[in-house]
Amino acid sequence: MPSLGRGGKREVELIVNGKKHLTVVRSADTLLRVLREHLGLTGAKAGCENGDCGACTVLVNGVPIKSCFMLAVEAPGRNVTTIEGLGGESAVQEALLTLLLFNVDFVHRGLLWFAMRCCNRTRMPMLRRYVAGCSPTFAAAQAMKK
Amino acid sequence: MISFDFEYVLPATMEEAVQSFQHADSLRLEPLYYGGGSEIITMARIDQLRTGAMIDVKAIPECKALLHQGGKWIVGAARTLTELAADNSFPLLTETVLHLADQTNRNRITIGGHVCGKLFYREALLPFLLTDSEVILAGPRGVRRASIHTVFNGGLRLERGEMLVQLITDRRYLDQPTYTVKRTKIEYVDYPVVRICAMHTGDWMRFAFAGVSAVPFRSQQIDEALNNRSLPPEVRINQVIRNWPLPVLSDMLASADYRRFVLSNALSDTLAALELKGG
Amino acid sequence: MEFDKRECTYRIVKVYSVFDAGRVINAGTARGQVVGGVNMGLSFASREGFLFNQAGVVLNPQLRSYKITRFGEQPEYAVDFVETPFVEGPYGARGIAEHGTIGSPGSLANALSIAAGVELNELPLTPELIWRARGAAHDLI
Repeated sequence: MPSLGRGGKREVELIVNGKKHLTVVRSADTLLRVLREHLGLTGAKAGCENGDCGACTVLVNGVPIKSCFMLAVEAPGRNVTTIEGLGGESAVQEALLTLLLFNVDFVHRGLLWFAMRCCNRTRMPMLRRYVAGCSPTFAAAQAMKK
Repeated sequence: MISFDFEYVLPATMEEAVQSFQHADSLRLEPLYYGGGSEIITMARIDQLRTGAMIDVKAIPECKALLHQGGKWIVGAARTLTELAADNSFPLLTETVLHLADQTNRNRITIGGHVCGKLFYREALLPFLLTDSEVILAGPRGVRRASIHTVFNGGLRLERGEMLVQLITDRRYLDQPTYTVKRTKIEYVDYPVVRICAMHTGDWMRFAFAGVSAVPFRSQQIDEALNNRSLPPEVRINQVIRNWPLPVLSDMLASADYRRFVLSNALSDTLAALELKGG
Repeated sequence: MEFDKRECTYRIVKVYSVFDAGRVINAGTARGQVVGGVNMGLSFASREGFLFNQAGVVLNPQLRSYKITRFGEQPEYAVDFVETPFVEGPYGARGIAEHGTIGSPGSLANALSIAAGVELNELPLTPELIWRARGAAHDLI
């Protein structure tokens, strides 16, 4: 039976943007807080911290979720991708910049994740075409896939 | 941030989970079973909830079930709403789920947390009420199987330390003609002012409601009244609303009067759609 | 705007905004300013507003209870400018910072008043408000 008595801090290993990180967290620390304050990855923002605004969105095993209502202690064994993990060169970031959203910032990040997720599946041909229209690199990648 | 500390455990089996709960309970830690975390974390952060121990159910194999077996569709309590919609074995559930919370929330909200949690809407419960599903529960007194109506219809009736493990639904109910409608205050993504899920099966229509009253429910009397084809639909609807079995909510989303107005229109649309699809 | 006479719900389809900018210096940011302002103004007019209890405590301090328009809910924006040069402004420009926000609640209320057939002069313009203004009494069961 898993033992109780670890209500204080514990060490966890997180895999973020492909790199392993060892850090000490409280059970009560959210993934958002740990990414920002322990790992220095401030790309995910603490907007409402209530699960409403999406500024804290990250990918966990490829699925976009709000990191403000996931605990850091749930993360071991899961691949976390933050916006820093995109490297600034993703086609969707390029597309959004082209659409005059000057900085891909704050709540736009939530939108960015959603758009990326959509583009990575085949069910949204309209969005892929739209993004391709805005982004030469995306269009080229699409053309190569065919 | 969450201002208090708590134990966090990730049991590998149902037995471990229940034992952990009992152990924590005996230490007066006020334990909670933890699914997607959306309710627990947001409420803990604003001090509307306090616990000394969280028992994460997402590693329990039975809670991750999602399969067809022996003519039944088996859904584990730790499956997220998105996973159930993607599976699409039950189109009514898919349609209901896709108009419930936003995408990133649905990617975390588990069906177990959704039907057992503190938020009283439980819209994704309604399709299972229509299918007369059964539930598997695990608790200090062992594992039991019960009709969903005895445990979830019109309120939560779980024993202390009991957790939902699975929902079991007969396959023949999964592809009947159905209809769902959700009306909100104004915005698309919001809690329901009125949510109706309805099914036409055989020669009988079934209805389940959320958002109108403080609990989601399906009622024999309402089913009978709405199936009474000797009366025109408007008369059936007026009767049902006049004799609504529970207080109609009056809150920030809508006043009771307006809710009744919305309910009347929604029922009208529901009856019309079902007659069309089922007839 | 599309108004559902039965439900009293509505959808804003297109918004036309024309302002006297004195002299438009950066067309992109001028348009952006108006579009952003109109978006905010329409959100404010259609759904925003603090709700208080008897003790004056705000009941909807969260984004899930204080609703604002989301991406995807915005109408089509048509923005244009007339230019009556403002002698004291740089190159004849006037400020157009808040015009979008200030103008939109009134225009939404006017459009809904016409569509709903009843004078609407209260915010936010929720379906319930419109339903009440249209004489809800006779709809009561």
